[in-house]
Amino acid sequence: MKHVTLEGGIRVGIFEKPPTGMDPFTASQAELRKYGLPPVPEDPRLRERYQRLFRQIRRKLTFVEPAFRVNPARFPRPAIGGIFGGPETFASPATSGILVTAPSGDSIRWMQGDWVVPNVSAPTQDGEYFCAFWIGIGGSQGPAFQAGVHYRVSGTNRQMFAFWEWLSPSNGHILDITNFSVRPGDLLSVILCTAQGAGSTDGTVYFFNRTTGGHTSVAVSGPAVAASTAEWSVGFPFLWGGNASILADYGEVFFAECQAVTNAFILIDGGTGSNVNITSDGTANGAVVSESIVITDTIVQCVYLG
Amino acid sequence: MKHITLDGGIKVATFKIPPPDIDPFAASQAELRMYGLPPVPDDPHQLARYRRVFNHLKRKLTFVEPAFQVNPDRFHGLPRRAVSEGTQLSSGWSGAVVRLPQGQSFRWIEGDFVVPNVDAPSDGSFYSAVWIGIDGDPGIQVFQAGVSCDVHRSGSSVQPSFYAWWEWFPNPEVGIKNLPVSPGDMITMVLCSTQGQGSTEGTVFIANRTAGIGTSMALTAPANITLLGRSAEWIVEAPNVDGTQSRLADYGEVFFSACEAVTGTGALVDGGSGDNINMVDGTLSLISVAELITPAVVRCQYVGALPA
Repeated sequence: MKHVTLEGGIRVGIFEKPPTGMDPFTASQAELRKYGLPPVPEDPRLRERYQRLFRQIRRKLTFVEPAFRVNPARFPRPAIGGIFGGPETFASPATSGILVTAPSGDSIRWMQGDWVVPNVSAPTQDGEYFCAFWIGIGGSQGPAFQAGVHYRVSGTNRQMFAFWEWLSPSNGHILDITNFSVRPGDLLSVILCTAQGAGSTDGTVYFFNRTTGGHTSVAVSGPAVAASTAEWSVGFPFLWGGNASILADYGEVFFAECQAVTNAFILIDGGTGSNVNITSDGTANGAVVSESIVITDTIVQCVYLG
Repeated sequence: MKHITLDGGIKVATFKIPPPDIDPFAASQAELRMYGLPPVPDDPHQLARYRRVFNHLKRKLTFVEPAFQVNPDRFHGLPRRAVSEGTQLSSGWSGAVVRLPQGQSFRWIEGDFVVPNVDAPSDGSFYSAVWIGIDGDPGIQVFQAGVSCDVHRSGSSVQPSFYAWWEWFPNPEVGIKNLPVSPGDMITMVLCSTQGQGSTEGTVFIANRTAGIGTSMALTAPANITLLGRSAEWIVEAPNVDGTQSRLADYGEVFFSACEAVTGTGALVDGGSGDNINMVDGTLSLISVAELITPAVVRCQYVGALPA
């Protein structure tokens, strides 16, 4: 593994390029670690999913050694603004999606999610709009470890990057992966692994673009994470304030394979968690701007209402 | 309404462009017909959905008068398989189908989806079409509209292309040249026939909710064809191109949502309440699988071109 120090002292580890035709099911765990591929899960459901992912992508899997750019924006944890429509639905000024909590005494070690990256548009021709789709491990407060795709839109211009961030509520930035191609309509699989769940200061982000076959992974570190929650979210960054009007129109997105695994190897389905909606003022009284709907235990739909 | 006869005698009519501030809920039924907008439904559930679509679009919807191009080598048409109950296999279709007994018919169908980006598993041309339609299972005609997501690979050069179209099989596909469609765009489609069974006319309404562009057109059935209305379907397809079954593009995944159809008597039928259809290749290996996720949500996943 190659260690790199980025702007602001952010340290990352970059894995070796796997040999062509590498089969994760015959590789040793040490080889998987060396090449930045996720460990083969023991849980039969997760293993079956892993097999499906690799069988489909193997013929075209192309490892990208990631290059980074420190982006001054940051994506927030769901800042819950009060009970919205019942005990299981919350309002937030900046994130919508689903949030699961680990059982007491246990913590989230690992999570995954798939989604087709929507195209986005600017609701008006004036101003800048933002939208991100991500999965994340954190806690109701405190540091969070997150990764996904984000857009910045102005008129017909748009920038999009895969990103990760490991930040505290008051400090930290998005790291854009500048050379990992993600385009609207691509099917993306993202996996986050922490070293040990609660208290982890190290983890790995795995990206698979299942449309193009692109794959990248990076070993990252950050402040100790409580790892009490996992989330599948749509939202916008905090740097520009908490006004929901800057959310770009993303249409709809379905997060699939929403599953997390705890330190005690308990599988938690994302659809069993709490909904979070973005409202116009971040409270239960505001108009819903982005709505999250549980479709099944492992599928969550988020819809832009504007 | 402007009546047009396209190549091959295909008849279609276009509607007057509605004023930019049109409110379908304040407009009369006659105005909605004049502008090619779907009628405001009476059913409260349908009404809520209609409001949601137009609330999303109202600040940005631009209507275009559609321009057409007949693609005589392209057919979507029939499922190309044996009919059976439960999960079915097809060489061309994957998705969900609901059916009605003889004497009943579908009049109307709707569906939303996000246009997938596509990849070519190997050199050459690959095709996928995401569409909704009435008839074809059973029947020898299909009233349908959708988006084609095709791709050509030559070595490392991959060239995808995307366009919206309609078709009343056995007539060929007609592309809509001026309705922009890009991968990742959210599309809403509504197809209405005049009366269900026996209809020889139907209206297609397509909205690109991401781009904020909509269009409508009134189709005339091919000669000697009337709608049966016995089936309604939400499909990802490998179409028939140049007289042969095309190879399916790697489309990743498509979720159809708001999968609902309405019968001639006004009953609502959920797309997820019928059968799913999986697509297979010549060796009966699965290429594309469909799951009925909920009554109104159907997922199709590309699983083809797997190594042994």
